[in-house]
Amino acid sequence: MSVIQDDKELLHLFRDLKTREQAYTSIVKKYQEKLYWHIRRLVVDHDDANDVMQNVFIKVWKGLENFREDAQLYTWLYRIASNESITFLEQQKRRSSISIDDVSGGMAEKLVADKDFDPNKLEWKLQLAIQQLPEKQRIVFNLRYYDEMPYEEMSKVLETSEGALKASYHHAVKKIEDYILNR
Amino acid sequence: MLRSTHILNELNTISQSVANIPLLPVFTVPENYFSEFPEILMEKIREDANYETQLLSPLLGGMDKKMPFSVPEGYFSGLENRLKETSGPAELVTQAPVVRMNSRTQVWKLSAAAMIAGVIGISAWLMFFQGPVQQPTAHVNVKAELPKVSEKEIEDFLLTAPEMSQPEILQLAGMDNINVEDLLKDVQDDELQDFMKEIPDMQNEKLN
Repeated sequence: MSVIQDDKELLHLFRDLKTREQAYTSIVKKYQEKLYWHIRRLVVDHDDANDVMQNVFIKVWKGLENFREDAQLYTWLYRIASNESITFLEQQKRRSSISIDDVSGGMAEKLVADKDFDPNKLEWKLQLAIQQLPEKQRIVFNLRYYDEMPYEEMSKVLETSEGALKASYHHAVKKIEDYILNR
Repeated sequence: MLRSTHILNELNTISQSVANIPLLPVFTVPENYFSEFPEILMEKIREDANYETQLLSPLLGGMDKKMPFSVPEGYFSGLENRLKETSGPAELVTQAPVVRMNSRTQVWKLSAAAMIAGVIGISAWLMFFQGPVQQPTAHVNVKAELPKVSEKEIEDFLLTAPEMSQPEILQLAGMDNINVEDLLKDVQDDELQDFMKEIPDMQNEKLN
């Protein structure tokens, strides 16, 4: 069986009950890695990322029937993944009853606890710097820096103007630079 | 990992230090995670109660389950106070009573129910399959019934039972203690004469 890659074709197959599961599995296989890394950079821990991933794709299963084809599938998937990650982080805040300012500290602790963590490596220092950013800025930075998402698409994902996103990215890079140079 | 030129150029205009950081992966993923994830996910979806509905009717399965009914404003916030007003503050029950279903009690209840069912069953069987219970023969009031019997019927009876004497017949009818004179005091003499002519063989002394 050939691997179907075209989103429109996958959506068409999903609407047919006979090919629904096959189409859905193809969509999962096509986007799982991109979405996983987007989520993982936000929640840091693999188990947490896995939980969020499952929630994201269950929402996709339930909502794909009503998905409007005028929007791009991957934009929609990223929006769900971002929202689910934010919801997860907010739940964590409530559970641990820590203030919003301490969240980045909590995420940094998770990074340090990672078995591969090496404070002398620049890539790990970059991760620590990213965790210092406010939530929305962190998402903007990750989408642009790692996923190389065009601002136009990012605007649809985060429902924010392109101008605001460019400014947000600029501020994020400056803060990261400051963290890396001064710590 | 390679970075696109336009992303790198943008980074360079903002911060050369950040642009110079090598793009290296830091997090690791468990082995076979991505190859196994789709199937694990599909199993989880199949366990979902809505999965069946979606297969039966994608339209229904995809619909929002939000109730279309509206509730009066402040209904839930004022519910507790309204309940207190209705039942009184002392009687307000905050927890439903717990009724223990003891297994021994259940056995006794079941035994009692079985016995009652048995009694009802046997009674019904006796009533409907054993026929009606024999009632004692009703005592016939001969004095009341005799005027209804015609003379012809009496004659026929006397012919079929010739062996019985008159006193025996009167005894059988419960009339042996009756004074015949009292019975005949309202009967006119000429009627008696006519009767005597019809049955000349009857003993005159007894009738007088």
